[in-house]
Amino acid sequence: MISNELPDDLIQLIELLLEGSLDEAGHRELEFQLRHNPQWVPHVRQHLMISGLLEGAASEDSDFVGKTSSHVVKLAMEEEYEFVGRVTRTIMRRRLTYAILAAAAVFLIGLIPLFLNSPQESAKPSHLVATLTRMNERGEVISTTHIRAGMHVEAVDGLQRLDFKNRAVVAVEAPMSMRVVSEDEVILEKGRLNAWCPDTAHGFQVRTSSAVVTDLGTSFGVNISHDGREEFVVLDGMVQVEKGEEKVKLSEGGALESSLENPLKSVVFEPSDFRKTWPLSYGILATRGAVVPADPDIPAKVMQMESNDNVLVIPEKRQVPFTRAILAEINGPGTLPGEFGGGLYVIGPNPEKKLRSFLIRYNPVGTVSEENFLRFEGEVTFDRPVLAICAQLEALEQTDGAFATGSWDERYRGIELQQTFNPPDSVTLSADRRTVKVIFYAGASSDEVRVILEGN
Amino acid sequence: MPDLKHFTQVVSEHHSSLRFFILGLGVNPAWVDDVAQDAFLIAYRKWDEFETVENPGAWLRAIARNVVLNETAKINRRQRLLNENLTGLLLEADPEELSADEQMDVAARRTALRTCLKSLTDKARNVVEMRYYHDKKSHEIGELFSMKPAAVRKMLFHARQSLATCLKEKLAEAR
Repeated sequence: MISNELPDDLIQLIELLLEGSLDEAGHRELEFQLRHNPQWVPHVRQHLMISGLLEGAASEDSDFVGKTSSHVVKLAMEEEYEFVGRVTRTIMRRRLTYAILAAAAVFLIGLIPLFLNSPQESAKPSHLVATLTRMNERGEVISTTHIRAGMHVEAVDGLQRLDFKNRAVVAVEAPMSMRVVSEDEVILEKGRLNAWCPDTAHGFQVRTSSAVVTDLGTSFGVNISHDGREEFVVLDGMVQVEKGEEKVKLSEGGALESSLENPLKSVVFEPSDFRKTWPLSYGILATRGAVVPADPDIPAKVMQMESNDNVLVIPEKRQVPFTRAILAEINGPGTLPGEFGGGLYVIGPNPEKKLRSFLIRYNPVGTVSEENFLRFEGEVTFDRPVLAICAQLEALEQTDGAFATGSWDERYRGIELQQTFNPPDSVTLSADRRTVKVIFYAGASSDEVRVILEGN
Repeated sequence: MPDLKHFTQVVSEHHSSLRFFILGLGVNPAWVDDVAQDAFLIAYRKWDEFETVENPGAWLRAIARNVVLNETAKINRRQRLLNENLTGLLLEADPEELSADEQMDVAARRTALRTCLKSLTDKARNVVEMRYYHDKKSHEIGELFSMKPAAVRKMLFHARQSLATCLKEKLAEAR
């Protein structure tokens, strides 16, 4: 199909198109030439295919089959069956997991000879630096894509999450435009992002048109507003912001404004703009019902947050070494009270793993009268499986030392499994261990559970 | 709705040629997987039709063609396309059937591509590697190899032609 009959100027236009350098006039010229010479269109088609193949698109992505099947079935079930789908999803997930695992295993086994036969090729740098997950406003995954160094990412709506190879996590709210330079650097052209960088990603950089922010062990946000103003906020840890000769170290609770025309300027710390991206960067994929993520702020303030209307999901410490046993009332799928009776399970340590935790807590402003119990029901879905849930005082206090970001002076902690005027509070961990559902009957005291997840 | 195992099997059998096909419609390579997923979602919802079609691959391509056609009509989503007017022309010229090499199994295609890359001249292979494996633009490659950018682009074009021819030969050998 491909021949060398194409004129030189068309060849130049095709190449510039493929490398992303074709200007507006070039686009028009290319269209004009092809419209008047339709016999050349199939040649262009072949070049697009071969070029895409060389770029790694449509390649042996072992995840594609599993992800696509899972994604398609999930979307179809949710939209067509709605309520019934929620009930049956547990069964479907289990079946689907088996199907995906089987398909993935067959696929991977098929790839083994490829690697064995061509060790030199397999040693080449993959240039895949991150996985992009696109989500809609409801927190549902729309798609996942592998991102190579140099790729441009754009979106007009929804949330995007980039999981980098070095384990940095970047959540971006659309409308957004960003170039992924490498696994250590992105250029934000438009949008609002939150980055979280573990030890393995320290030094991660976000460039804007006027400045560079470098992670020094932290969670930070960058916002480029519609009028081009750039703002940097630090929610945890520290960053360095650099603009020309200026270098400023910014600690948690600090904020800077930057523009091309003016020097860096300290501004009031106002993290509420990051209400959507901050939870996502922490691994909260979606919340429903009365359960909502806490508003973004520094850890000491987040853990003290109160709300009369909602049960808050509050991030605690990340990257906690799993060197001590954990006591918990829930250690697998099921409901407390129900499959779990309230007894404590011991989960043995595994020093190779790190953990993170969240509090799911109803903590009203002031106190509510004992006669005025309120019912709260909702759920939260995390980006990884839950290891254990601590639901009562002993387990909560036993894990405070490792996970809490502040101290407690509450007498009543955890949930009530026996109440005089109401059914018991309950906590349910889904079959895939990612969704935690709570029903709290809240009165004079706060209700809370600690959800512990594997951090790596 | 299809049996889940059956659906996963269909995705497994057709995703490679479908994604390759979508590339040929001028979809930005970074978005090919998204478009393919959209196509599989529609296929899942129209599964009753699948049971009756003789050529599932062609049926999936027809769906993907419509997904891409819709992209050209949505202003906000044209970023998925390299050039929406070019995609329009490619859709008009789209062949009914894929050639044999376009239907090649994904692993076989990658293996053949690796072999074919070795058949290029050293200079052409270096240029291809700089362009595709090191994300260099033609003017940057020109600086590296003391070539004019236009000469780099021409070399890339002819290298791809050679690769396409080689892929066809490899397929013929494999048969």
